[in-house]
Amino acid sequence: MEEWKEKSDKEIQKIADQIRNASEGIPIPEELHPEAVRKRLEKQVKKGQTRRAFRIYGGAAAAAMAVLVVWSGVRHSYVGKGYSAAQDAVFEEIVEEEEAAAETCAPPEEGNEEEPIRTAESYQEIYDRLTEYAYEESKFLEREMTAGVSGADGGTGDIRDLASNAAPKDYSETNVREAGVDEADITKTDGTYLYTAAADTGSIQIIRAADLKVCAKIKAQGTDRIEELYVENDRLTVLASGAATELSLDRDGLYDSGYRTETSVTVYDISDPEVPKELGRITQEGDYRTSRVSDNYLYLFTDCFKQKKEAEDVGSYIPRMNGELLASDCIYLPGTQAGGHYLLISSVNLANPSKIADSRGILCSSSETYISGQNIYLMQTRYESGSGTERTEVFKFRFFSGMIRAKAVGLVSGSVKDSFCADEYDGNLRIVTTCQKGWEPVCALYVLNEDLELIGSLENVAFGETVRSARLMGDVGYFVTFRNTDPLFCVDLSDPTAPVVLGELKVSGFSGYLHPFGEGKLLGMGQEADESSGRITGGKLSMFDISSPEEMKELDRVVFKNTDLANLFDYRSVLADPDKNIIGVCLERWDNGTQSVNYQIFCYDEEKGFVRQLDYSMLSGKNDLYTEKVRGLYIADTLYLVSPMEISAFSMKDGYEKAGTLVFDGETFVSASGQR
Amino acid sequence: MESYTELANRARQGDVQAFSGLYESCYRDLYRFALYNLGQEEDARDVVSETVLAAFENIGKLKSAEAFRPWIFRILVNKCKRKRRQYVLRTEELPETLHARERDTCQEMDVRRAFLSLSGEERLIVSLSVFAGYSSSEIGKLLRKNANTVRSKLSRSMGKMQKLLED
Repeated sequence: MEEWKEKSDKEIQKIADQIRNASEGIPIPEELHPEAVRKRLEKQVKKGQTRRAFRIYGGAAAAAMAVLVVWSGVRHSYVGKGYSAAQDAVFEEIVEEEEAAAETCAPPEEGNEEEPIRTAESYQEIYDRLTEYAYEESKFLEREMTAGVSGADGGTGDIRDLASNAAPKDYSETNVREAGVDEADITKTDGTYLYTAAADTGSIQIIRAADLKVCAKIKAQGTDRIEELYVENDRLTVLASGAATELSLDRDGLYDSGYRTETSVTVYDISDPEVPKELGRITQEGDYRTSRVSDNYLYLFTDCFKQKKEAEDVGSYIPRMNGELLASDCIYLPGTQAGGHYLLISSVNLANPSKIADSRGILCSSSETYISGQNIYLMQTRYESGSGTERTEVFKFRFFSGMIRAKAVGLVSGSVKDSFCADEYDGNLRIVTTCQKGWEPVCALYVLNEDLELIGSLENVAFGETVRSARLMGDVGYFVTFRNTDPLFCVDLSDPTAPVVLGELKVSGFSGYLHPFGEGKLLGMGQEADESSGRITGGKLSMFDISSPEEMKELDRVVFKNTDLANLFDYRSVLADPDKNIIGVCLERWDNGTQSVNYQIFCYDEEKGFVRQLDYSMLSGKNDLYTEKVRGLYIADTLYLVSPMEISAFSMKDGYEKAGTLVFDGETFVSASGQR
Repeated sequence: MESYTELANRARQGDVQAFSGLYESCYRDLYRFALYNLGQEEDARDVVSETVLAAFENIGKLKSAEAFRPWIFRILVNKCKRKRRQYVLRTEELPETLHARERDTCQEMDVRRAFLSLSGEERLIVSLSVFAGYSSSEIGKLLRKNANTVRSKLSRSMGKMQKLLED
């Protein structure tokens, strides 16, 4: 990134002159010439059509041409907060002029800028919108079409100096999508203790790693189900799902009881992990989708479905944030219709966890969420029945110290596979999609600027194939498409207006997940497939040499026949650390209705390629093992495998000899010999 | 030749010819500003047309002759902002100018492309400076930003444009 030196006034003047000179030649349209304008105005004055007044109040039917021109036929327009269709457009100009004249000189604040997505004026408006949608939807269903949308995306105690976290950690952390933005997971470590809810969704077990001793247990509140957790800076943050009962008044004046799903955030002080202390808790309506922690704020995302009843029963269509109804001016109504589905976002200051800092709701059914260091991107797939194509609508929200603000809306062709298919770099959003061209799929990469305006595109890549994985890293990006074989594409993204394919490598099978593995290398985890039929035959690990984009090579591969790589379900479960030279895979296999789960560890050697160092058969027992809850992590030179049924430690320096095991007995983890 | 102030006085009283005199002094810049901000000729023409009408109808509010130019530009800025938001609803993907990726020797096309590579806010700041003749602090007041922020954004955007224009 070039450092921009402040240009001198003279330099700026020079460029300004250059621009002015270049634009001298632009022809001005006839009707804008002063003569033409004069004639037009004279005609209008004669007809008495212009209204020359000092103040035109909203509600007064303005006959001025200006109003008609601006407001014609824009039904779902994105207008700024506070404007309403009844107001005269010209009135706004007058108001703005007065404001400018008032010389406010307000300090620059992120939150004061106009937001590009409209917020609701009142609860009534939201009620009307949902009613309208219900009517549209019933007509839609009559035509027997399916919508292509899917839904899934204060305080006591000091916070330790965050600078201390800059020191290199010798323990593995959750494999997050964006460096610097922490994500929750079912199992975490702080280098000394293991914290897990893998075994029991009703509690978190806190285990001292060195001697595998269970030190504490945190129970979920009531019948809540623990989803995932964060461990950072002496704070343990727990995300759980539950239900809250509520009474509502129906038409006959009778009370009806029901419940609404709720997600809770509870923060504990774990400066002494053996004695956790609850600091605060908030709840947010809806099912837990995901969360992020950045700059000591937790951002919580839930999906909330509302079944509206009467207009007076506001709680039936407006979600509750920590018990309080979300304000109508915090609810966004994008142009596209969506039923009673909200995506809710709240922020919580982890130093003050008893209250919600900021909340927003958006009526949309976003299918993917990608969160960068500064922005939230919600991606909603829209199926357009006319053209039979899919498009992805992108809603951008900026987050900053707990504040959440709408920033931009964009639209691209195609649909997005997962959050790795979107990536923000240098202010621009690069997005890889699979589009439809007639009956065949085809792939594309689009570059959108800060306002989500299209500035660059690469289309018609890999005709007949779909995108399976992507990893965009700064000036260069990689993505994998597949039908029968796996072309791995390398794209030059250094010029955002002109993305260009630099190289292509075809190998059998495909990678569902890509991970940079040291200088010039890319690790792919995926599946092997028969080259002619495309039929999946097993799991696969590949190491690619990407040092030369035009000549990418597959250096080595390991194929696991008739086996699945469970890690592909959730990128957070991936253990791949190039510095420690360790790769962990959780393999799942079904033979005649019997499940077997193995965890294997590899290192990568320049000469020998992948070298297997551990093949451990995990306990499955009578009930099948949920492999998506298996995690492999290391602390210094010990590997820990944490599954819903066991925690096993292995000494990495002694050929991965087993150093200890805990088994879950239904309530807690006990050592294999039976002692607690 | 009437002075600017005399024109303004007469325009304020509803004199169409005087108003067009004021308009004449800035109409080229108004159009170029709109064109570079919106990237489309038709929209630029519409937006300037609306601005002229709005200005004429409210000319009674004009406080002084010097205020005319910044005042009419302020109206134009708001109309451009609103127009740009409507672009999101469009189903056509790109404005024509972006498709022209071939090395266009026409300098004017280069300027247009250079503008389009900037973000909406950067475009506003640059065109307010170049075509409306606003200073950084005037831009700051209009866009409700700190003048220093505007100055560095202007510097950075001009740098970006210079680089593109030199290629």
